[in-house]
Formats: sequence, structure tokens, C-alpha cells
Amino acid sequence: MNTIVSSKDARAQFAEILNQVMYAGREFIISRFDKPIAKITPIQSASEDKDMTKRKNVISKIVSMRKVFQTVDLTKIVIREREKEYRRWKKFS
Amino acid sequence: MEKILLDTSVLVKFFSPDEKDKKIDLLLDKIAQKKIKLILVDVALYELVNALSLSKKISSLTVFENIAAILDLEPEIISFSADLIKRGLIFMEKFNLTIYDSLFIAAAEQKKVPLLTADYKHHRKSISKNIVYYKEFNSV
Repeated sequence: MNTIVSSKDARAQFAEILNQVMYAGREFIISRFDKPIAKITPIQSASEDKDMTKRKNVISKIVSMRKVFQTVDLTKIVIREREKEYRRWKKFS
Repeated sequence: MEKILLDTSVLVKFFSPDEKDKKIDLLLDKIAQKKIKLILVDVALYELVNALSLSKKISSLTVFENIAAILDLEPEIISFSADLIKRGLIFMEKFNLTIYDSLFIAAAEQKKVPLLTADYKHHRKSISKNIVYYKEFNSV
């Protein structure tokens, strides 16, 4: 859960906020004049978020391409082409 | 991390899965999560281009996008090497295979990883203990 702190409080309690981020994995949103301005978040969770997003993007990219090949059995095509190559090879070997 | 070498016959299932097959999505998810390291022989990418191009009238851009999606999974790609060819030639001669089919088996042996295949004709289990049939694969 995010904790909102004013920029004034953040300045005064900066060491404590960093400890909370580092040891408890908490996230803080810094506000100025009641408007959220910045976020302090553990680096590990930020990179995990990035990895998760990347993973979802890769999967959805592949899944979205399935529409094109809906009625096709690509495995059969691979095996058929191998069989052709095998016969060609056998003929000349 | 578990490592697995995918034969093209399985790799293409990412784009055209069998209707009731849930295994391929689990495998894809684990690879994307980096719980399983995907290994490919470079020949597989050429075979993939070939199969995609022969399947339908699709543009070369679409083919390229499919290849790019596979590369986004950050596979380890095994390229030509003297050792790989040497191993491949042994399988080729001993089991009467084309060099292309032999390379997958040779690469699995070289890397000491399973070769997951759906090509039960050209990758017979009797050829190598590294060969795992997709239809019997349950570890995802």
C-alpha cells in the first residue's frame, strides 16, 4: 500500500522513509500542495514490475498472432517439409 | 533454471496450438517468466520462417514479427560449430537422418538438455535419450 507524505514531512523524515522502503518494501508518494508529485519505491519491486510487464507483452504478442494461423497446423507443415527434404536426400545419397 | 531445447515442431505451436492443448501456454508462460530457459538451434528459426511462409499468404513483415516475438523470449541460440556438425554427422550416418534433423539431436546432446519434439518420425526416441515427445511431456 502507498503512503502519502507531504514534501515537508518527507524532507524531515527522509532517513526513516528510506528505511521503510528498504527493509519493509513500502512505497511512499510525495505530495506538494496536496498533489501527488513523486513516488519512492524499492528498486527490486520496480524491476519486477518491469519484468512482469515485459513478460505479459511478449505473451500477448505471440497469442495475438494466433488469429492468423487459426486454421493451420504449423507442426504438420514442419514435418511435411522435413519429409520432403528427407526424400530428396535419400534419392541422392 | 531448467533448460529445454525446442524442436521447430513444438516452437510453431506457440502460434498454432492444438485446440485443447493447454501445455503450450504453460510452457510459453514459464519461458517468459524465465523459469525455463529456451534453447534453439539456429536452423529452427529458418524452419519457422519456412513453415510460416508456406502456411498462408502472409506478408514478409508478419513473418518477421513472428520471428521477433520468439526472439523477445531471449532464447539461447546454438549456431554452427565444428563440434555440432561433427556430432550431427554421427547421428546422420548412424540413424539415416538428414543433417537438419540430426543437428537438433546433436545440439541437445552437446548442451545436455532435453529436446522437446512433436516430430515423432524424424526424432525417434530410440535415437537419443535426450529426446522427449511433446505428447508425453508433463513437466510444465
